[in-house]
Amino acid sequence: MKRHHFSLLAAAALAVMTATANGDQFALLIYETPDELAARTDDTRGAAYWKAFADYGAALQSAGIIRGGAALQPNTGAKTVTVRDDESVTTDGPHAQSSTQLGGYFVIEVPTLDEALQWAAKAPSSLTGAVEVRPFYPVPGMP
Amino acid sequence: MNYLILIYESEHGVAARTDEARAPEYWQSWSNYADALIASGIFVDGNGLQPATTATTVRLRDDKRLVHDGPFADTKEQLGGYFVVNVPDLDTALEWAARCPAATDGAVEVRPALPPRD
Repeated sequence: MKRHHFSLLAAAALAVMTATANGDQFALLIYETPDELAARTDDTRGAAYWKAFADYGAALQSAGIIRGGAALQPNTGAKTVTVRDDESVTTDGPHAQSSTQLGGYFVIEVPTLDEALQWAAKAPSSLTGAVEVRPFYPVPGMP
Repeated sequence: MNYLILIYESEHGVAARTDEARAPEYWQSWSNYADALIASGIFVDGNGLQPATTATTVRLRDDKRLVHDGPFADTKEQLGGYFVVNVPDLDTALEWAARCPAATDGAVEVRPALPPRD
């Protein structure tokens, strides 16, 4: 099942190399329910889970709008770091506690927010979790 | 191994982006941080996000698209951007997280990415 994930990333890398500027970039933040995340490693549901994301990645690729993306380990593996008065404190767990967690993201380049929202609605996690769409901020000096 | 460094910024931090007096220092600190990541050869990707007020959240229920303005999770600190770094272990990722400008004012979350299979 990881092969699907790999081909998704390979597609993203290829898309980055062949990218032409034709719009604004948006992050599609994929919020998944615990049940969905459990499907990743479930013998019976795993195949359908990964196929849904592979199909979605392939659709973004054929539309020529994918610019990046990654899937994340479950947030039980998250650590949060804060520095106060020069002292660094690391806590286990994500910064924002919620039952529905950030499972990954896609970066797409499309002409309008409306188009980004249409793509967000096609992401597998929109059915049970949610997809948050955020426009990029043009950061000076970033490669 | 790739780790995602999620940058949670306070309102005060995000406001500095467009504050005439504070913006130069704000951007300089991020530029220094990105330069350091690039110089160590661990930079994979990174992007800044527009403020959470520009976020839109989409759900699909019974084939109906439900769209609402605002971020999915309402938090005091907001996701202001992210970096992807390639480092040998979590400890190294946490060291870089502690050097991130947002760590002193907001918080920095480190998440391992799913490893690709070759």
